[in-house]
Amino acid sequence: MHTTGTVASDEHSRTDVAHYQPTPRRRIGLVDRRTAQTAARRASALVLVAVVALLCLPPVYFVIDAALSGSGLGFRQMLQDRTLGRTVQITITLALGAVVISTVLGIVLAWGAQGLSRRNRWLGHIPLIPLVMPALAAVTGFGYLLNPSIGFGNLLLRKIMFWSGAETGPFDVNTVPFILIVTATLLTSFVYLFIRSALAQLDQGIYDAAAASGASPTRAFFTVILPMLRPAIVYSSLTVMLLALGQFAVPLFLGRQENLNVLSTAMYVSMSASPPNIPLAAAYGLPIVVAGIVFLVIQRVVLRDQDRFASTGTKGAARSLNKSGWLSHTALIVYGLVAVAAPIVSVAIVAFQPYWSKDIVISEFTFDNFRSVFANPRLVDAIGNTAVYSLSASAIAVPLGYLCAKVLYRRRQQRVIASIVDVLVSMSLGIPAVIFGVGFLLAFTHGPLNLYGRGAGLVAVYVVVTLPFITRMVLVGMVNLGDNLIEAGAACGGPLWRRILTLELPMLRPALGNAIAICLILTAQEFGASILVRSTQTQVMSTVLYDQFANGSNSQVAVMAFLMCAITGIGVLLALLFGRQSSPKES
Amino acid sequence: MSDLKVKDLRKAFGSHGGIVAVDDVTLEVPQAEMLVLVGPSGCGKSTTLRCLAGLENPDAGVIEFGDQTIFDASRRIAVPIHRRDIGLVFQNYALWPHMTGWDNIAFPLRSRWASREEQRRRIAAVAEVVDLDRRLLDKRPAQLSGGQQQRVALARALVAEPKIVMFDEPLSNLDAALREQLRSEIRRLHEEIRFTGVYVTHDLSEAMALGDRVAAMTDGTIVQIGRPEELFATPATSRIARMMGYRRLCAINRGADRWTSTDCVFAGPAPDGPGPSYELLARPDRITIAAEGTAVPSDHEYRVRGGVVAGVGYLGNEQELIVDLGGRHLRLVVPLGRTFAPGDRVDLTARPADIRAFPLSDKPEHPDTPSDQETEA
Ligand SMILES: Nc1ncnc2c1ncn2[C@@H]1O[C@H](COP(=O)(O)OP(=O)(O)OP(=O)(O)O)[C@@H](O)[C@H]1O
Ligand SMILES: [Mg+2]
Repeated sequence: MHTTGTVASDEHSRTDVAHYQPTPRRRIGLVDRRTAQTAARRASALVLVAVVALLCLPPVYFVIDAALSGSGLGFRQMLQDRTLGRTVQITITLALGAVVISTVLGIVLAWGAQGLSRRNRWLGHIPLIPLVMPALAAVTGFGYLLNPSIGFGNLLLRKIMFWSGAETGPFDVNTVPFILIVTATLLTSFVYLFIRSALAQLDQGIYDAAAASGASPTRAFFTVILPMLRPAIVYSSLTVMLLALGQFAVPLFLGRQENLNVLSTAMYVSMSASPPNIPLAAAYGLPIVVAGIVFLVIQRVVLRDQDRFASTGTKGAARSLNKSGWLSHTALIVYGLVAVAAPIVSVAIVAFQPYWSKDIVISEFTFDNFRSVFANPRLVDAIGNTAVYSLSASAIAVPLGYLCAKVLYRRRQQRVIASIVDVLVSMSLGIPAVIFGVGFLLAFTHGPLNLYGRGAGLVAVYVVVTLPFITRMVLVGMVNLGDNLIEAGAACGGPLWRRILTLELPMLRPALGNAIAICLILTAQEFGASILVRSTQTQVMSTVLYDQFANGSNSQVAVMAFLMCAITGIGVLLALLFGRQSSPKES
Repeated sequence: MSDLKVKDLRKAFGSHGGIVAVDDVTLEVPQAEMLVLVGPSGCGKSTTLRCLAGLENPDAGVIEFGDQTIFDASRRIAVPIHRRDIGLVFQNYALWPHMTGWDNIAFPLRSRWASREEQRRRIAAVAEVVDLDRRLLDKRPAQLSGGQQQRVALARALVAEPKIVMFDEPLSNLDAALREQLRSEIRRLHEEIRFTGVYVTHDLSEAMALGDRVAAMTDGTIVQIGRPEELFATPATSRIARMMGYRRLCAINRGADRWTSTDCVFAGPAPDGPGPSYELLARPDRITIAAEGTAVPSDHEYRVRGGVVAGVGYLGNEQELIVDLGGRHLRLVVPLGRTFAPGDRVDLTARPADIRAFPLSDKPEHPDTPSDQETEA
């Protein structure tokens, strides 16, 4: 497109100078063509904005509307609730506690992983597993592990501390400290992810120079590495705070027994009363929405201030020189055992035991529980539904995310539209899925579009929930690819669609492949929104698992959790294989 | 400040030590001397330096700073980098972006628990020496130019008066003019403070200008070590000769009764030595060019015939000729005055004193060897 345009206009300006005889008619023609293209591009971007806005905004609007309508009826009810103080207290404890624990743990693990020897590099992947591990499997696993009377972990500890002679404990998973610990352990992965990539951006010389200047490893870490990580630390603590505030699955599974609520579970409880108390639920949800938006704004400001930390040297992963690092090895292995292996193994044991008991007899392991799950049409339907919704959501969300990423990448050309897309996309990052669940429920039942009880409703929620992740991944892929390769294609001419199909998409294949994998994984285990939007005809695996949990059928819960882990595991393996084959750069 | 002794230093990389980066390096740097390690890319200069600094753990060898053993593989001694008392200047400066210039320079002093008063005194002194304006010290590295950043890095390396100061290509990120300016300033610094220094570069002129002595490295070993003039006048191997700018004139073989050449017609005295074949190298500025068959000064006893001018370039007060010698291209810079045109047939002549002869071995040359096809400056 621009090849002919620019060359022609150059030609014209030269003639203009030579003859002092402008040729206005043809000039206008050229300008027209360019504006037409810009206009077309702008129009398509506007359509995209409209689609994303229609998906993201109504749920939030309906929550706010329900909270504020009836002259604050919901709030009045909320203030009368005698457990409100406790609920707020637990919510804040969870948010702040999780930030402290996961930030410290995440930094320790990330710095430790930097010092791994080449042979043990794989240990560095361990802290990332909770990102893809089904949260429900983890939380039920911790339940089996730390149940005060027959939790496997407690049994083991009691055996070690035989002198105490206790019959229960020492730990009780259904308490606030353990809700906090489980949440923080799982959220540590996010901190780890951000800090690892920030460390990879640092110049090794930064650390070496400190060591050469006579700073001990500890001093070098605290005076040089930690300050350089500050933006990443602030960013990841804010993210963790946001995720902890909206945390739903862990407090719901571990807190319901003792009636311990956080804002999100209190909202769910009011929503699942019959009839649902919509104003009260919305009143509980509103603070989370507001906090989410506030944190997103803060994050933006923090990111803007990053220049000061831009390293002047070449990039290369900064790592400690201290390679012996038995401490970092131990930290990673212990984290892997506690946060990943223990819950999953517990789930597996309960799934194969005839019934959950403290005696683990391998010879009695059986497939009976699996058989009964597969004999139950409700459960089989749920598995089928999960597959269908998950695939449909990916089919919509990945192209949508690609388009959003494209708009964001070309930010300079479409400033306003890009900013709107940015806000819309990150909004569903800041607002927890459970709020979107309520919002969609209200939108579907009140709005013109009645999707309640249809699969399309769940698919729509999934698209909104996964959009920020996909957009981000594809955007990172585009940034890494850089302009030159695409521009080189543009210079060769040819229609846009062909350039996209033959150049851009193949080069983005690793990023797109990862985006698809993440989308499938996230949607297949989605719980917060599903539990609200589902109906009896549209059950998915996670909601069925919760129903079974509420009924106390532990073995069935374990089987479902086990299946979710297995499906996720297969998905991750496929993604890894796919990713390895398709990225020639990594050899 | 103290002297540095290195004995049989060895470092290999790869899963089974497949890549030997430093191969039995032995060195001595007397106190207050600046030793420059020079060699082609990948020859192991940086690795040697990193072993001295403690950034890499050598596989074998002994390193001593003065009378202190810093590293000894057989006695399992390895003093960690932060206790070696060194100054290190990096190619990319490695300044800490979150600290001001002042804080960057103060860091080594603070690590050594210097008092505030002493910090102030020493930083003022070192800033003066490296010619850094006091106002620049309040800025962060991102607000400084490349040259100013490198001055801060120099000040940081020198401020604590370490035993040894090490430089790893500190100037190669700077543009040519600045590079020359800072080069002479480092020279002046060294003359002023007389620190013991090890300086790594691949730039020959830098090595010549800065080194009290120069060690030429190839393939992980130090092939020759000596004063710059020595290396320049009597390179030990043809690879070092090439590093010093010598280029191949021709290769000759011992015949039954006289020397013959495969790639040129050659006349001149034979090298003394028992080898069956030699290559003759000369610096291009010592080669005279003459139209085919014309007379040359009588002391130009070497004469290589059959050159063809392949290209002529105008350089202002000189001209550049690319001469094709049996398929190899030789770049010569000659005075203006005589005009040459592509296709002219020419002879190349040189005095015996300017010719270096090196025995040719049978085995093929190392791929890293700078080729004779060099047509760039
Ligand atoms: N960390 C490492 N792992 C594996 N191989 C390495 C490592 N560091 C250096 N090498 C190898 O050791 C050899 C010497 O490298 P070194 O960096 O010392 O070269 P150099 O002389 O400094 O080169 P340059 O002038 O390009 O900086 C090279 O073959 C290099 O590939
Ligand atoms: Mg180097």
